[in-house]
Formats: sequence, C-alpha cells, structure tokens
Amino acid sequence: MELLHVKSLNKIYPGKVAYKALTNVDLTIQKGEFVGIMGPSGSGKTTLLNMVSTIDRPTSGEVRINGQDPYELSSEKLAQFRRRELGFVFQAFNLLDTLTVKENIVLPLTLEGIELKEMNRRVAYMAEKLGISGILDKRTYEISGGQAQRTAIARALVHTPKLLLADEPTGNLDSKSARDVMELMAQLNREENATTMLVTHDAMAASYCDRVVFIKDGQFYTEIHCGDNRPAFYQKIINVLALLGGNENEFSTIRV
Amino acid sequence: MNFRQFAFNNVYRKKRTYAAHFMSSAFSVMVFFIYAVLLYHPDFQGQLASSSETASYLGGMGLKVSQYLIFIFSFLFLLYSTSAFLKVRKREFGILLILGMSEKQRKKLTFIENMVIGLASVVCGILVGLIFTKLILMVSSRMLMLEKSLDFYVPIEAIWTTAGAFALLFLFISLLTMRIGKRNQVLDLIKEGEKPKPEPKASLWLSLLAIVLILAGYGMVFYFVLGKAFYFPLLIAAVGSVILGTYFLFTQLSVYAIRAMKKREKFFFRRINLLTLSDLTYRMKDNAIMFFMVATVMAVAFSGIGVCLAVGDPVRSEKMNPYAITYRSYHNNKLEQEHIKTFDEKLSSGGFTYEKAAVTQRYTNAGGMVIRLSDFNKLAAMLGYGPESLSNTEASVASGIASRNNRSYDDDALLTAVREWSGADMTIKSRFNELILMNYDDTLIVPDELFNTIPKSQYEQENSINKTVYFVVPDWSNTLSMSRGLEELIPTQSETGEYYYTLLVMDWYHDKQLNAILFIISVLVGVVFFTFAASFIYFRLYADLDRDERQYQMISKLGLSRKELKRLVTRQLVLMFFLPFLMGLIHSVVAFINMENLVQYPMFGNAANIYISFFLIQLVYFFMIRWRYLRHMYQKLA
Repeated sequence: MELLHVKSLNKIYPGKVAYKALTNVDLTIQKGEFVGIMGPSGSGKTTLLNMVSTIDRPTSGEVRINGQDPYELSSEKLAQFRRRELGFVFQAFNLLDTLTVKENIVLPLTLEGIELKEMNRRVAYMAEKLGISGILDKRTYEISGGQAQRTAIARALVHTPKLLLADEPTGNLDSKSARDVMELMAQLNREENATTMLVTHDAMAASYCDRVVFIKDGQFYTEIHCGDNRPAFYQKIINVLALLGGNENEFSTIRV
Repeated sequence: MNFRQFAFNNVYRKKRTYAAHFMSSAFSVMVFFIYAVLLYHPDFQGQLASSSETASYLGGMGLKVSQYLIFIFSFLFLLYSTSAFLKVRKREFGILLILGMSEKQRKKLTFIENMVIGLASVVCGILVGLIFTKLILMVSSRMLMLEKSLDFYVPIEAIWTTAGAFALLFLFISLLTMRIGKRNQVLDLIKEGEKPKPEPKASLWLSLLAIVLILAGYGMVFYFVLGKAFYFPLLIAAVGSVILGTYFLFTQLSVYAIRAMKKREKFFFRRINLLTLSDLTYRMKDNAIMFFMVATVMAVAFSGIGVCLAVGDPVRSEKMNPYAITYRSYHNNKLEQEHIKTFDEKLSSGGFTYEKAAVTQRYTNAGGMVIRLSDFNKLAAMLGYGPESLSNTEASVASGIASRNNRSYDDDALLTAVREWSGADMTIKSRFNELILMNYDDTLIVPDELFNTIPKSQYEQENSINKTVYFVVPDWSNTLSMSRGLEELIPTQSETGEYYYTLLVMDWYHDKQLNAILFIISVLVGVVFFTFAASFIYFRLYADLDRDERQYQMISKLGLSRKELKRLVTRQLVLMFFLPFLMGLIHSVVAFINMENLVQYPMFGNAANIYISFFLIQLVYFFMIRWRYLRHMYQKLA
C-alpha cells in the first residue's frame, strides 16, 4: 500500500533570480518502507522533506500522505494532521529546553489530550525500546547528543505516526552514537512498522535503508535497493555518490 | 570606520532594538521635566500662596517628594532596561570579544552606546515635554480651578535641572553597566540563552513565611487603625512586612505552587498545561522579581490616587455638611429677615431650586440645646428622612459630631436636664446618628408643647444662638459664582457678633484648591508608575522574544495550531499583566478599608473607579501587546 505519493513536485523560490529547487520530482513510499534520500548539498533533499512534512508549500505538484493531500487542509486541521500522522527527527534535535526528557516525549500526546495512563504507558514503552529509561527526569542540557537524538526519536514515534521524517538525524552525532541511532531507527522500522523517510548525506546512515533515492540539482537521479547485504549496499551508495560528482575523501571511511 | 563610529553606528543602525529602551528613557525624562516645570512655575507658586498657604506648602512638598520618587524609579527602571538590553546583546559581545575586541574597547562601546541613548533621550524628552507643558499647564489650572490660567513660559530652570539630573543618571548607569559585564566569561556570553537558568529554590518555610508576613502586616495596619495605636514605627513595620511578604510570595510561594501543580500529573499533562507551566518555571526567577516590583508599584499608585481623590471629592464635603447655606442668628440679630430675603433672591435669580427650614433653639440650665419636634421634622423632610412623632413623655436626640464619631452616648445627663424644667420623667425614644443638625454636642428634640414651657436659662443671652436657617440646594456645586456674590453682599461674619453663615460650595472650593495639587500629583505619579510597570512587562517579553520564537517554531513543527498558540500566549500574558495587578489591588483594598475606618468616609466609590480605569488601561495594553506579539509569531511561523 502506498503511504506517501509525491507526483511531479516543483518548488521555485521567487526572488530577483528565481531559484528552482525541485523539478518534477516523483516519489512513492510503501507502507513499512525505510527510504533514504541522498544527494550533494543544495540538491533539494531538505526542500523535498519540507514539502512532505507540510512545513513548506510546493509551487506545483501533488503530495499525498495516506491518500490525503495535506495542503488542502485548513491551518487548524494541518496542525492536527502533523501531530497525528507525522513524526519528526531533526539534526539539531529541537528538544524544548524548558522540559525534561519525559515531558519532551509526551508533548505530542498532551497536545492531543490523551489519557494520562495511556501516556505513561507509551512513554515507558518507547523509553524502554530506546534505552533512555534512566534519564527520563533529566533536563535537556544534562544529556549527551546521542541521548538527545534518542529522545527526539522517542518523541517522533510516541504517537505512532503514519510517517516518520528524519532530517540528517546523525549529522550532529559522533560515529558510535550515529550508528546506535541508525540501528534503532532500523529496528523501530521493522518492529513498529514505522514508515520512514530519511534525508542524509552520510553513506553509513543511508546504508540502513531499504532503498536510497538520489537527487541532484532538484531532479531525480537514481535509486538503489539494499538487498540482503548491508556492506555491499554501503559500497554501492559510495559508488553512486562518487558518480554524483563528489570526491571520495568526502565520505566516511568506516568499514562496517 | 574608527571605533567611535562603530559604536555610534551600532546604536544608530539598530534603531529598532533600542527603540523601546530609548522611548522609555525619554518618557521618564519627559515626566520629570513636566514636574520640574510645575515646580518652578512662578505664577503657580504666587497664586497658590495667596489663596491658601497650606495648599502651596503641601503642593510644593508633594511635587518635591514625587520628584524624588520619580528620580529613584527612573534610576531603577533605566538600570533594569539597560541590563535587559545587555542580556539580549551578550552573544554579540561574545563574538566581538572572540574577534579580538579588548575588554577596554568593550567597556568603551557600552559606555558610548549608553551615553548616546541617554543624551538623545534627554533631548527628546525635554522637547516633547516642552510641547506638552502648555497642555499640562492648561489642564492643571483647570483642575485647580485657578481662575487666572497659568502662563506658558520657557522654563530654563526646569530644563537645566532635568538635563543635569539625567545626564548624571545616565553617566552613572553607563559606569555601572560597564561593571556588570565584567564578570562574564566569553563562553558564557556566547552560550547565553542556550543554557537554561536553574530553577529558583523554593522552601516551604519561606513560602509560609510569605503568607504570615502579609497577614501580619495587614494585622498591624488594622491594629493601628482599630486599636487606635497611632504609633508611627508600627505603620512602617506593617508596610515593610507586607512588602517583604509580597517578595517572598512571588519568589517562593509561586514557585512552590507551580511545582505542586506540576506534581499533579493528570493536570500537568493535559493539553497545553505542560508548555504553560514548564515555561513559567523556566522564567520564574526573572518573572518573580518583575511581579514583585510591579505589584508594589501598583499598590502604591492605587492607594495614593485613592487618598487624593477621596480628599478632593465634592461628595465628601456634602457628607460632612448637607446644607448649601447654614445661617446662624444670635438673639440680638436685627438683620435676619433681610439676610434670608437676600439669600432667597440670590438663589431664585440664579435659577436654583432650594428648600429652607429655620430651627429655633433653646438651652437647658446645663447648657444643652433643645429644639422643637416640628422644626426637626421639617429639616428631616428636607434631607429625605421620615418624620418622628413623640408623645408628651418622650424625647429624641440628634447626635452631635462628638458622640456620632465616638459612639459614646450620655442619655442620663440629657434626661436630668429635661426633668429640671418639666418635672416629669421622660424617656428617650430614639437617637439620630444621621447628619441632620450641624451641632457639636447632642441636641434634644422635644414635643412642641413642652418646648414652649422651657424656662429661660442662663445660657440664653444676647450673644447666644437663637435661630439657625438651613438651605438645601441639590445643585449646590454650581453655586460658586453666586456664593462669591453673596459673600460680597453680606460678610460671612458680622463684626459685632450678631450672625455668621457658611457656604458649602466655598468650603468645598477651598478643599479642592488644596487637594487638586495632590490630585495632579497622584495622577501624574499614577501615570508614571503605570508606565513603568507596563514597560517592565514589555522588556520582559522583549528580552525573551528570540527564545520564544525558536521555541514556538519548534513546537509548531510538531503540530501546534494557531488557536493553541494563541491560547498559550494569552495564558502567559494574562499572568504577566494581571497577577501583579491583582496583588496590588488586594494590598490597596486593605489600605482603603483602613483609611475608611480612619476618616469615617466611604472610599470604595473612588477605589472602584481607580481599579476600573486602571484595569481598562491595562486591558487595552494587554490586547495591544498580545496582538503585536501574536502577529510577530504568526509571521515567523508562517
């Protein structure tokens, strides 16, 4: 079943010199799939993600999430749509520093007005899964980057969204934490059946995906599938990136 | 670009950042200036001195005292707003220091900036003040009912005082702010805003102490008034204890209360409560001090204006004396009929409706006053009270000022006096505590037949009062010019001691002269304090705007609708605007209750007016700020 359907999406940033960020991009994500979006800086990855996450409006084209076009919704409904159907993980974590870890995680649930018992149950469950049960009462400035990102993932998944959107979730982390986070995301994708769209320029992170879509200069470039062998997939990704015009030193040298 | 140019451009090109700071500085300069203009005004002083020495003395004192007050508050306020600005700009300082700006240069930068703003606001404040001076002088002479309007003059002295005082103030603040930034490390400067401030510590004991202190303060005030313990240090102790209690209330009890609310998960985790409460705790330390200052300032402003209004209120004069004209005639007065006729003519030709009643009075041997029941009933009817009827063995008493205020009645003495001439035992049927007779002592009211049998006592001589004529004029407050004419026609007091009369409107006018100055001062002080309070709130919001913006952006990505944002913002602003207001209101209500007991005059009509007008202004301010704030946020969130 198609969960995300993007059809001939265009985005033009107007200005003295209009900038065409996306040109006729098509993308389909099946339910339960883990899809990575890669491309050089400025290729339009984040723009695409912003369109899908309803934060930015496309110039033309169609976005359907679970059969629903979010841009047809009123701003009120859109806010509800975001907090029910979508989960976000950002490079900068975007945790609220006024809240503790637990409060950050329950935030989407409180906005929705969920029962207290149910909330506590879900937080306990997510914290257990992500291994952050011990830090639930800590404030955001007391925890490490890896813990912060895991908190952010817990927050993104606590309300069981239809689609998880991750924007460079490993960008701010060291390689060990990055791998932990990616393994967690892959695990959650399998166990919770959380459909995930991941934007990254880290080949290691992308290698956890089922499929990686490459875009270049705002256009679809190619896509590759994982198959069974992750190290081989990683190599394939590196090769495509080299083809995309980068140079190899740019990429992480971790051998998996 | 040399360094001075850099510093100057830093202010000039960031006009918007400095606008609020600049405007409030200019505002305090302006108010100070207007005060100074009034204080130095030659006409103002001259004419006041001639009409009433007390008024001039009080006025001058009041202006001086409030000028000191304004100066102190300007200082605190400027210090607060400067430090708020420096906080906003700490990151910028951090960057400049990393780029290699020396400590000396940074000091120079803050110094030059502050001086530029300071001097500009002194100039602007004085200029705008000058424009308003004409207006203020017109309004104040209106209020003072000074018939000759105050002249507009170019107040050189006032300009110098203001410019000098504020130049010194800004210099001092500049020097002080240079020291403030000294202790910060570069890293702290750059990370400013990222690291949350630690939650303020709250102890249960201090929270309880807050309540105890406030209650104790209230108790002391009540004891002061009701126990008649007029002991000045007690009053000071009471005020001090209330202020301290308020401080702890906001810094301790509020934190404690919010924590208790946070512990109730069912409440805490409901909808936007989570965001509201945690945000409150986060800012509590800053807010607590602001709340405390605003609450105190408001309490002072409320009580001050309340007292001044009460003293200058025309209804108060009426409460003390319901008669527009009270004419007292002695036994030897031959002009009585003529005078009464003049009063009648004057009143009729002035188009006033009026009623009058004459009361003949006689004396017992003990010197007590006795009047006829029918006379009394006429008076009572004029004032809208029902008639009294007495049998032959009954009498009534109209309380005099002394027994009315002290509530101590000596009925036996009166009865003894009556028995002396009537030979019969009488009973006192009733006592009137209303203001009907304007005598100092109790007055006995007896049936008409009995009145005629009173033997001539030793007190009834040529120079004792025989008859009093009372005039009731509903529209008395407009009789000023007529009364002036009367006073020219008939001297208020005959030189040979045959009669005297008082005119209510003249008493009121003199009171008003005296109190209008107090009124102007209190209104000005109220306006200034209110603006200070409002600006405190404004700066609080302003300093946190960037952080709020980022936070709301974050939450809106998670799915916070505009409606919810609006509710969130409204809640926080309502607390900021109305919590200190409420506290100030409670304090001043206690003050009003006690003043009412002290002066035996209802304060709450005026108090309600003050509260309502302040509340409305505050409400308008609240909606304005909320509108601007939300518009800003909506734009940022798109």
